[in-house]
Amino acid sequence: MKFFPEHWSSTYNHWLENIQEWCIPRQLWWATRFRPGTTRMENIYVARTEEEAVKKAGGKKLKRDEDVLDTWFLLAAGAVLLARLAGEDEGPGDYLPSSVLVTGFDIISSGSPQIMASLHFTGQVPFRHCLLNALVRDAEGQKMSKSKGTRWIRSTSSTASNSAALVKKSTTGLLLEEHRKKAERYVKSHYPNGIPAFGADALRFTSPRSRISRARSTSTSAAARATATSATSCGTPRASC
Amino acid sequence: MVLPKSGRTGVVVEPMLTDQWFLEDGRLASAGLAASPAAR
Repeated sequence: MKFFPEHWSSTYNHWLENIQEWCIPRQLWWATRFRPGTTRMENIYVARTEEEAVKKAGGKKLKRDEDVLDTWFLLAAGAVLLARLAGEDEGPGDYLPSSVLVTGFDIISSGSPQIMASLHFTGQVPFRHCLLNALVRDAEGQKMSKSKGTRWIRSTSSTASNSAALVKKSTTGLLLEEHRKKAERYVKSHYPNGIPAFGADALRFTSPRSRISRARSTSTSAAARATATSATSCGTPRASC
Repeated sequence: MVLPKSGRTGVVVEPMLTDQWFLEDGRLASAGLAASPAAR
């Protein structure tokens, strides 16, 4: 398994060499709950099914754990799913490894469980190459965030939006009130007249074309070509490494 | 003292201690390290 750029392998190794026990429950309203049968009362009974858990508890009525799973635990659980999907004549590792994973460098620590789980359950790494790109940031250097209202909204670049519409789009679904105020101030000061319409075609062609030309000019490696393919297929601009 | 309040509802946020599940991933990490060429 190789990382591109290669220096990110040091970050990956450092994380795993100093790994701590992983707290996997989250107290959120939206996510996948613990498996049915994972129950919690005075005593804890863990089983594959609720019926099995009740049987273990001697027929007592049990309360299912209300916590949900960490998102990255679910990603790691993909290896388990693959192992179950494999046919009788196949091994769970027959579909692995895939060729390349393209993601942001901030995913190294939280994405490493996917590698660990894949090795544990299938004996294979999930992908041969991992291309880590930089983050797309806003004008103030902050990581773009849906919950902070600093993300780029694709539709606002293709169709015209006045300032009020921009404010509404940028302040919908934020986690904190302070983020809403900040996003509103930012949009009003930077886009007092909104954004003119650039058209969907201009957006479709500009984003992938700029990415492909950069990939070709900097490297002919398989990883670089994979980046260009990724940007073309999803139509989303990614910052270069 | 800062009194934490919900950004959406304004109600006071109180701590609620609950049991947590922890995964011992030291053994899994060893396999992950072995797969990294820089670690060899």
